[in-house]
Amino acid sequence: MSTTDLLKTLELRWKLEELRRLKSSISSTLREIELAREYLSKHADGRRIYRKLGDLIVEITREEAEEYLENAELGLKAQLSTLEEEERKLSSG
Amino acid sequence: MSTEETKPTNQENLEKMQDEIRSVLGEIEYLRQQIGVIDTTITDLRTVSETLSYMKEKGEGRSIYIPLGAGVAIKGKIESVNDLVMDVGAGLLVSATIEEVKEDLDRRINALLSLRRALLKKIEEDSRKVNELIEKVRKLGGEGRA
Repeated sequence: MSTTDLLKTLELRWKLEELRRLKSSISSTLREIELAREYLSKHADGRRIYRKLGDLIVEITREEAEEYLENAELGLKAQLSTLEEEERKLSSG
Repeated sequence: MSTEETKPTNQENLEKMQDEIRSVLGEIEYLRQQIGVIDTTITDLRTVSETLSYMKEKGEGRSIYIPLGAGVAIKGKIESVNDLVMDVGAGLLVSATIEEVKEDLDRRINALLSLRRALLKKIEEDSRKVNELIEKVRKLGGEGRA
């Protein structure tokens, strides 16, 4: 294997590793969203709900919390599928 | 291809086992680091729990300094010891009483302790494996010299 080929292989491996790290981080955040949603549905009755905005803590309604989780989940799932597509391309190419 | 050609030599076996020992020792080191992280988290959780117990007993109406970051704090007063917010993940918090927060902290401490026990068990297993491998390497080394 020539030096150029070796470098290309290493670069590809590095890109794949980076991509998988990102995927794993997104999956953890998705799991966190799922747990937060579970908490809200089981234990949030009668409780005030807040959202972190930077260092600020702002009170929101339950509907707003659910909408926020829904949007965050959709965004992350879209990112995840983009990364999966990229992974497929890198693995086959 | 004959069997003799494919059979690994003593030297190859030795190198393979030494690699395995290095790999298991690496895992033990990683597990020890994880236990260190868990211990720090447990200490933090216990400190918060003790602070809450103190606040519950003596905090109402007390003047305190609220940290703003960078070592700076501002004077404030605790209006109600039973009005807390608790992080539930994903950037959301919910209101909770001291008792609820303490229960949640206890649950988290217990989960971490159980994870710690599992990691310690894995370290024990790995250490046993390393000792067995070292013993095998010694025997192979002896055979090689004989």
